[in-house]
Amino acid sequence: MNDNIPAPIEERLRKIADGMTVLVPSAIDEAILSRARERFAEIRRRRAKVQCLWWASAAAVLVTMGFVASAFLNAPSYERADIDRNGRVDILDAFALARRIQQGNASGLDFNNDGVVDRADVDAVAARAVKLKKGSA
Amino acid sequence: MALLPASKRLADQQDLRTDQELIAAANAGDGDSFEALYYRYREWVTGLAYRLTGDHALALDVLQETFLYFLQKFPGFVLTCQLKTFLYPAVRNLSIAARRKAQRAQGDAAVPEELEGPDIPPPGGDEIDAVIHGLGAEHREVLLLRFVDGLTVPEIAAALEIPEGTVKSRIHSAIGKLRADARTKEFFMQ
Repeated sequence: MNDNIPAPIEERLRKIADGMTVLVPSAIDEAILSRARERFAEIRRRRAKVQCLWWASAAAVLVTMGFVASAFLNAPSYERADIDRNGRVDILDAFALARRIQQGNASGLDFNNDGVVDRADVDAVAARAVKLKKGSA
Repeated sequence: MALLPASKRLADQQDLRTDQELIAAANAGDGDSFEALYYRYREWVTGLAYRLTGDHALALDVLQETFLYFLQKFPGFVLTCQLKTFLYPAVRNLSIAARRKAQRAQGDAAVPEELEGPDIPPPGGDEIDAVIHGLGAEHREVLLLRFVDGLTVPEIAAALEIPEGTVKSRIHSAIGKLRADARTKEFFMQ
């Protein structure tokens, strides 16, 4: 069976529904809509607060990142052979390397690139320490 | 109390945005979008409430309660069906509550657990009205939802909170009664 109804009956159903229209006094509209306005004002206030917090968090993250970057960029750089990190390569670095080799704490300090860290590396640092810079008398 | 200017009300009624667009704007805090939804569905909610309660004052109470309930859904309201489908159960349950409250206030012993159905005005002597009235509340309601409110079978099922099969069967049966009745069967032959 086709579940459609003839137009006159559909029309009558519409009339029945239309006949049930209730006139809504404007005081009722206003009562509902004033509650709605309060609610949406509250929603906007809450959103603004969340947005404020979001911007504050974003600013805090940026400031932190700035500090970290600045600390990283301003960190002093040392030459690899400056074992004691005093800003220059001198004979004390050769002694420091010798001491670390003795203590077994010299991994990665293969200055002559022969695959082992040993006395030859101490010599290489010492040679570097006594090497004259270009242009020096 | 400040009343809405008529031009504002008209603008709300003529807002061309879809329900979904209005809801998205309302979720973002735009009260005007909610007002547009209110004016779009006000008559339907009131008419339905009157259909279910048979009382003008109760229908107006249900209108207020329905929109205050709807208002509480914001922000974060997600519409997954037609707004009528969403509003229907609220109007129905609030109508039941309103009728119970009214009957208790009048001291009636029999307070209904469920609405017996839409309380439409008695037929005014017209034969078609008489047949429609004689269909019974459940059948008349599905016909109104299907052919007047334009809801689909799944939407009616969601609104009435009953299985789709039951909706189909009620529509089928209601049409069957109209088709069988001597006063309306001629319309099916044209």
